[in-house]
Amino acid sequence: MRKKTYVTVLGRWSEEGAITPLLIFWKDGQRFPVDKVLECRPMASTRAGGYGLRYTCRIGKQLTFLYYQPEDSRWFVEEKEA
Amino acid sequence: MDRVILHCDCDCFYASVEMLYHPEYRHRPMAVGGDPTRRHGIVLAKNQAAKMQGVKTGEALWQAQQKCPDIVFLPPRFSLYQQHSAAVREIFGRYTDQIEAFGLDECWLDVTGSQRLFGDGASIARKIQNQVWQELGITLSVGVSFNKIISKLGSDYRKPNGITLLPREALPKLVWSLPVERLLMVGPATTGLLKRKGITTIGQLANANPAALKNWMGKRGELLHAYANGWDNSPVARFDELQLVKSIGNSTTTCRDLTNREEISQVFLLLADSVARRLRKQGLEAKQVCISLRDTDLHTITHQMPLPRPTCLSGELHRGALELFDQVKQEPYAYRSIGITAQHLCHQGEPGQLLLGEDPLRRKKQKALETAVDDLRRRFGSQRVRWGGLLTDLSLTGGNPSEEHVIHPAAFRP
Repeated sequence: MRKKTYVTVLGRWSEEGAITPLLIFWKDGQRFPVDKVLECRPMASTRAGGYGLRYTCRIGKQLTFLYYQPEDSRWFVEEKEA
Repeated sequence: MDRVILHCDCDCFYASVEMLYHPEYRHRPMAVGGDPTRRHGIVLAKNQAAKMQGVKTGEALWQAQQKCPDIVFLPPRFSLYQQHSAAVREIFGRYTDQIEAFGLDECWLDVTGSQRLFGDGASIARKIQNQVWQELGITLSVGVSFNKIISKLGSDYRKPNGITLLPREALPKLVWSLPVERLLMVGPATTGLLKRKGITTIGQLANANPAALKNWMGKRGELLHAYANGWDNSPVARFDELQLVKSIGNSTTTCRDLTNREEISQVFLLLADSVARRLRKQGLEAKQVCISLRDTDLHTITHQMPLPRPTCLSGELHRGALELFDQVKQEPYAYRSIGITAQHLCHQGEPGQLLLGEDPLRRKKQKALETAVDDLRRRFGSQRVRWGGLLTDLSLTGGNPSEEHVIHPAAFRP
C-alpha cells in the first residue's frame, strides 16, 4: 500500500499542449530535477488510488512514477508508507 | 455474414470506481449507497467481498449491515462515475465508432469492420479489458456474439472480468436453458405473465407459438420471440448519434412521509420548478404532465393528463400535478416519494391555440420572468432565487433535485 501524496511540480507546456515535468518540490524543501522523462502513458494507480497520465521520470539514478491527474490538474506520487 | 457485437459491462461499476480511489477497501466488504439519514439508503453497488457475504444491489443499507456487520458504506459520487464512464468509452473508441451506451456502465460495440486491424471479437475483448484495467483500474466483462440481445446475455455469464463467446450454434445449448427473466426487456411483470403461461426459460419462449404470444402481450410478444431466437438485427448506434429526449422528470423521496395537501403542494412546486428549468434549458415544452406517488408499502401509482397548452412554466406544471393528485388521492394517505414527469415534448415556439378568455401577454411575461430566474441561478447559484412557497419547510424543500439527480440506465429502445 502506498500513500497518495500530491506534489508541487514545475512543468513545461509545449506548443501542442503536451506537459513535461521539469522539477518536483518535495515537502521537506528538497527539489528533485527530472533528468529525463522516459515514458508517458495513461495509467491507473491502484496502489495509491487514482488515475491519470503516468510519467516515468529519471531523477539521478532513480526511476519514479509521477502522475498527472487531468480532472483537477494536480500531480501526485505513490509515497512509500513508513 | 454475421456481425461481431461486443457487450461490455463494467463489473460493480460504482464500487469499482470507489475502490480505485480507496485501495484500502479492495479486500474489505464495501458498498456504495445513498444517504441513510435522508431515507435514500439502498445499496447501489457492492464489491466482490460484500457480494460473497450475500449483500445484494437494491436492498436497504440496514439489511446489508445485518448480513455483513463490518461493511463500509461510501456515498455515491455521480460526477466521478460519469467521468470514468466517459474515459472507458474513449478506450472503446480506439476500436470502433459504433458505440451504443446503455447506462453508465454498459456499452454495445460493433467490431465487425475492426477485425482486420485488431483481431477477432475475443481478441478485441481481451485487449479492451487489459487497457481498461491498466489505464482506469476497473474490470469489465464482455459478451461476444452476433447481435445485441445475445451479446448482452453473454456479458452476464461469467463475471467478473470474463469473456463469453456465444455464436449462433451455441444458442440452444447455452442460451435456451437460461431463465426467461435474463432476456432483455423481460422484467418482473412479463416474467410473471410468461410463467402463468408455462414459459420459464428462454428456450421455451423461443419455441412458443408467436401468434399466441402476440395474443397475450401484443406486439411485444412477437418482439420477445424474435429476441429469444436470436433474430434481432438492430444496428449498434454510432457514438455521436443523439437520442431524442422523450420525457423530463424529477422525483424525490422526502425525509418524512407526506400526509397533507400543503406538504404535497410544496414538494410538487420544488419538482415542477426543476423540471421546468430543464425543459427551458433544452428548448422544449411539454404537452402532458404525469405524476408518480409511492406510498409507505412501496406501491407506486402514476397518473397523467394532457395540458391545455404546451408549457415550460413551473406554475402550469405545478397546477397540473395538483389536479392529478386530487383525482387519485385516497384519504388517509402517506406518501414517501412523489415525482413529476413532463411528457409529449415539443420544441418551444411552436404556434399554439389561444384559449378563450386567456391573456397571452401574461404567459409571455411569466416565461420572461422564469427565464430571467434561470439566468440568475446560472450566474450566482441555484439556491439564490427561490419560490417563496418553498421556504415554509426547508426540511422538505431544501434540496436541489436538478443537480442532485440520480442517474437511471437509459431505457432500451428497440
